[in-house]
Amino acid sequence: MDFVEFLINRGDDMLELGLEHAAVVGASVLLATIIGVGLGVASYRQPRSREAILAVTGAFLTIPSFALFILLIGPLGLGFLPVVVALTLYGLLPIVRNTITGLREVDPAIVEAALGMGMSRGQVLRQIELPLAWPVIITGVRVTTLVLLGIAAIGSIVLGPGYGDLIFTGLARVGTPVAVNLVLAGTLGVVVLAVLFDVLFYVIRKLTTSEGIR
Amino acid sequence: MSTLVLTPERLAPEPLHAPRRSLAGYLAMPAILALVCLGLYLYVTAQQLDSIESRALTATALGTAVWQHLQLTAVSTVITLAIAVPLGVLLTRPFARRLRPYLLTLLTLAQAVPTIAVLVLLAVAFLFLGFQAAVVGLVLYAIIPVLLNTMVGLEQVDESVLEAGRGMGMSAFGVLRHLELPLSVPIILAGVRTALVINVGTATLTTYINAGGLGDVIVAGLSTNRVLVQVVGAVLTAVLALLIDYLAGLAEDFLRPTGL
Amino acid sequence: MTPSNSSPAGTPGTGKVMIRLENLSKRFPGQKTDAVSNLSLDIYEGEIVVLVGPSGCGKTTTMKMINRIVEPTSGRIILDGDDVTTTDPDALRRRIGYVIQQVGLFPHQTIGENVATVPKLLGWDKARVAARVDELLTMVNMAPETFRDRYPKQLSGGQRQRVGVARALGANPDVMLMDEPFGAIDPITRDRLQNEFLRLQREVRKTIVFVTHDIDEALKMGDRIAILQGPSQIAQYDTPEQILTAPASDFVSDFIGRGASLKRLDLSHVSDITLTQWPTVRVGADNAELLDVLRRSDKGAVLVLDDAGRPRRWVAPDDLDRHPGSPLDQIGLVPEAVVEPHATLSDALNELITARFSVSIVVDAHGVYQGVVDIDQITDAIRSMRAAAVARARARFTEDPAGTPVIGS
Repeated sequence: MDFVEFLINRGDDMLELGLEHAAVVGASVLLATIIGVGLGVASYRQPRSREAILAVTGAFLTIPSFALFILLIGPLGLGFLPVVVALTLYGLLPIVRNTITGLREVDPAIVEAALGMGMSRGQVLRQIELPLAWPVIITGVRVTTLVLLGIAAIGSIVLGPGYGDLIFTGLARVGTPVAVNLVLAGTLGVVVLAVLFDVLFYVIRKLTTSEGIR
Repeated sequence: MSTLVLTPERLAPEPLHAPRRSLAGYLAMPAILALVCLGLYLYVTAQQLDSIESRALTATALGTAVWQHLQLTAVSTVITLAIAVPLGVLLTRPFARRLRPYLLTLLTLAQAVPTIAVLVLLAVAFLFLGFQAAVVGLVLYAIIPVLLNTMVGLEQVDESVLEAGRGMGMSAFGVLRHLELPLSVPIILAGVRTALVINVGTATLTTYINAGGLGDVIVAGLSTNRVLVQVVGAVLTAVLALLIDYLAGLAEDFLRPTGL
Repeated sequence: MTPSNSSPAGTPGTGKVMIRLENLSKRFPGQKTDAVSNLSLDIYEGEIVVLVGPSGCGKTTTMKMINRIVEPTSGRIILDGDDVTTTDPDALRRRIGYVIQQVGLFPHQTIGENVATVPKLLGWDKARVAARVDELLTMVNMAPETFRDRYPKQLSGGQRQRVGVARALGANPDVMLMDEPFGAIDPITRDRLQNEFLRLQREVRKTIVFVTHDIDEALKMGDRIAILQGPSQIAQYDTPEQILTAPASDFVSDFIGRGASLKRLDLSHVSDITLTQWPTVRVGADNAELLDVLRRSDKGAVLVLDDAGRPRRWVAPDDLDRHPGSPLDQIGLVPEAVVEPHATLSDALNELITARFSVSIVVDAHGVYQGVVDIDQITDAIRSMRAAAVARARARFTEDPAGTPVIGS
């Protein structure tokens, strides 16, 4: 059976797995963005907490995903939940780091001018610093998304959703003709999602970034 | 698997961490890792192990797994660097400048390809299994971030320094040899660290293509449904990865040329 | 200080204190010495006060304590009678315009949005904000319809600084703080912006604290100048005229640098001195009349005026001989050194040095001859200005031997 035929036959499966994969990654990215931007905002002006947060989120990213998924079975069981938690932890570093970098790159003169005109710290953060740091932050979110799409496939080990299922099924059938098609289909699915997410972020970035800093 | 990629946008304009940490900063990680190992040891010895568990958790079995894991990591890292750094130099030469944006997008997107897919494809498509297959898989995956890192690092070398070099009559090769490469040492060191961390993570998965490593311990625990064995395998994997990252970080701090 | 010697010539200082700094000190965390130490200063309504001094003298820190971008370690700040040392800093800053050297325009906002910042913070309604934005842009010579919707990156350095000034004027504050506002701009644009700003200030009459390290800018912009010597000392706080003619110490003289007298000439105008008269005749006069006028003076030529009284020609007896019968406005030499009364003595001196007969001709706005200025008048002016300044300085000293009340320890 050739690969195209295989894809057509498994069209429904591909779509369903794709939606699952996108959902688990999307949820994780959303969580990681909320937590990561929060941590970045909370720490970018204090060198000590900044370094501590970068060290801890960096350590998360260093722990091999296979090991982390296994360790999360104990407290969280199998399925969607451990995958979302693991992916969120993995996603933090790029977002935290880019949030901190973006906020620190804002010209101090601009912040001084804003404070000098009587904006409160909160107003400066919301109206000046975050909008100016936004292109850098969203780049971090984009990178995080691409990385998480790949890691999510390994989530199949703990019965997580998505294209990892096809890859591991293929592995289990090594030596049979369908194995290659299964693995290729899983890989292709992830790559297609990566392209779609990338386009999505390109559009979001375009729409949410002021013309003045493009 | 762990993926510490550096794309152009992610490189901070100034280092976010001080180049040299305090003594306490240097000692924190080994202390934590030692405590985790000690705790794991005490926990395991306190358990009543059944025959499967005691067979899986002998010092020899674990030692072999760690040794295989280190071999996979070391060999694949050396090969990754041997390919990615020269390729990075090549792709930043003027003739490749026009390709750059497409190349960067392609490489960034390629990072989404699951590592497991690369390894499994080697197995199912070419029936290529074992140590060599694992090394090929690891290198294929790790090349991308190291290559991105090197390209961006070389491009970040201050243009005015290069112009001054050319202005003094250095050849293009002289500029590369005496200015670009030395000034890029920190970036290359970061690439070494990236490659090590990625490979030590991905090597966990090579168990699926019969290449051993600490993944063996985890998979043994999974197939026999022994949680204790899974946890020991997972914790050792995490500790090894964090230790290697820590050592690579030390090397980065101390090998970085002064003045940079 | 009595109002008579506190008001610089030509400046209607009301004598009302707008900003009073009382024993202000600032020590930054981790520093062993004060950046500003026990400094007191009165700033009068409607005046431009320039804080000037070498780097490290605390001039910027002093200014930034007024809007509490830098919080004072001790001392009080009194703004228009209110003690604002510990009130809400955001509310204080909305009352004070703030312009910095780097401008600090918000790059993600349009020029219009930038200028609207403070009015929006104060909760003005949309129509009022929009009207104010257009008014302010017009005030700084930026056509609103052209610039309102542009972004800062689309402007030149000089245009950005204009927008910075407009933004600082947003809610029509009584007080403006300006930290080297023209410091990063090329000399030609800087000169133009300075002049534009002085013209604007004549309309808006703000109380302005202006920081610079450039004494020439201080002399040009300031109604009053405070020369800061170090963290704890104001070397002199006085009008530019007094500082140039009666420097209070060697430090001040050194800081002004060479050429103080020449700089002094920049501050006086032709209208400040009494003009001398030169022999003149109307263009229709005959030769006999011209020679008669000449004979009754000690000069070598007559200035020929047209029917409206405007200078047309220098005519000497030789010219009459060489061109017998020609009309007077077609012989002799065209007068070139012509200045108007608002010109500075420095301009007049510059003209007369190269002019024929070593005089500058002074005409009014319609070009009508008023008189001439020669080198003796300028030296006399310098001499009398110096004598007056010394007398004023002496009088002040006997009145108040501890120094004037505005000078901190």
